[in-house]
Amino acid sequence: MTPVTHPMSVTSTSLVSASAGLRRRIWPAVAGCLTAMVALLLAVPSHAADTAAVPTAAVPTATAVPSMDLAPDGVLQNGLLHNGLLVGALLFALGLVGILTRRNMIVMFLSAELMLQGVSVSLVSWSRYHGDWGGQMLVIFVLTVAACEAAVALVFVLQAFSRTGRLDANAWQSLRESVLPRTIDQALPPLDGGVTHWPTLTPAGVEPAHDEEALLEREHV
Amino acid sequence: MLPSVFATQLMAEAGSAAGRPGLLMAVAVTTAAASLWLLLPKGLEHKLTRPAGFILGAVALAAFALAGRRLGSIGEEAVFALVALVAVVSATATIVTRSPVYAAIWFAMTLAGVSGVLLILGAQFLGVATIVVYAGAILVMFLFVLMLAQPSGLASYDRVSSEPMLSAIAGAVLVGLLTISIGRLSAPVPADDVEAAATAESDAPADSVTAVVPDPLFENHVARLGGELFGRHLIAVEAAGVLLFVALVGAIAVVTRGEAAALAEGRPTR
Repeated sequence: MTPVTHPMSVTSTSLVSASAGLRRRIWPAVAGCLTAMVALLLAVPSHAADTAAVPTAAVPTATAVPSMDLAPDGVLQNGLLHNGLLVGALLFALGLVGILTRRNMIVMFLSAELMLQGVSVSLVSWSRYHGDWGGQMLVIFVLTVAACEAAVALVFVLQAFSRTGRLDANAWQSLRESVLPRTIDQALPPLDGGVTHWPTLTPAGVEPAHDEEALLEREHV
Repeated sequence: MLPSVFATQLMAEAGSAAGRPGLLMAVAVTTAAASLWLLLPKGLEHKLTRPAGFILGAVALAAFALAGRRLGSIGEEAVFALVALVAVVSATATIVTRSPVYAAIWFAMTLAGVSGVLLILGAQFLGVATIVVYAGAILVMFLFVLMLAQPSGLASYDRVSSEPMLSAIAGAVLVGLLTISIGRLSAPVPADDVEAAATAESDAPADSVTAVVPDPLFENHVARLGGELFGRHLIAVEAAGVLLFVALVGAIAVVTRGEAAALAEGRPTR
């Protein structure tokens, strides 16, 4: 296996950035993607107006709810479903952003758990909408799998930490594809110092004299 | 500034319930992406970066809240908005906080919000189980590992993130696509037509129309959930037990084998 850089040899100041060539190739795609996104969103009312134009017109509207064996309300549960799915989508996307962009492996796993939470909220919303247990059963198994995943993943994180001395995912960039550019470390300005000050207790009173012999004799506390 | 123009237009249109949902979601998605990009750790930060991120995030949250559907009563809406706000804001704080310990604490806050959402959605057992299993067990395990592995002070890799703008845009595009499909899932019902539609569809008397419809899963919730779990899904429960056991054995095996390999290679072990 390729030897990993020793933690002491890594400068304490590092900044990740893709190479300039990759950046030049990516930005037009990104700009096009966001523009298409906003255009699609702005086009939503026209789709909602004439559903006949949309080929997938089998939209389960509120009037379709009573066809299922449900309480014939439609509207309230539809609102709950909509809002629950919205919250679930937000949580999932936030977790996705975290897992894509953060470098600390523990924060990456927290983001993965965040995505699982979003999925759970969506599943329970569907369970409420349909009035059956399927979604809630799935969420129970999501909990189980999350527990297993956390155990195994944390073991791997600890192993990686004991090898490199860092929780940095970029410490393992020698495992990347050979065509991809190497992550370049750049200088980082010194910390402003506001974060690293942990609270300390003020010493109170005088430390009493310890009787060493008595401490040794006390076998059972 | 483009988002502020959007915001003023949004405020002008906020009165009408139907409005322009597409414009609303476009504003929400764009401001959410910009806010995430401003808030994510980038190493080099201007003094005004984080306040601008907070303001844009507030605009995005307001837009998402306006995009939500009406629920039964104003109290129900307020409670749902509160727990959803707690969940989403602390989820954002989880991924933008520099210190991983604070990220874990914010994640616990997210769990509180999520369990509130689950309780509102009628999943009582899952709301409690989320707190107990996640905040009680998994999160404490994360904190243990942090205490074992975190070097003193704020590490450099916590102060910078890889490609924050691309990631924020990816998340925003995902949210936009999901909200498009969620919005198409159910056509919005105008608030005036709700009562008329409900009376027309159901032959129930008029006084029961405005009442909140009971959850069909509410009666004997935990007992019926247990019956379903150990009845119809018994095989899956057995498989989950096997999975837990395998994960336990695998975790211990990886640790011990790693220690043995480290001893053989002469590397220091913990």
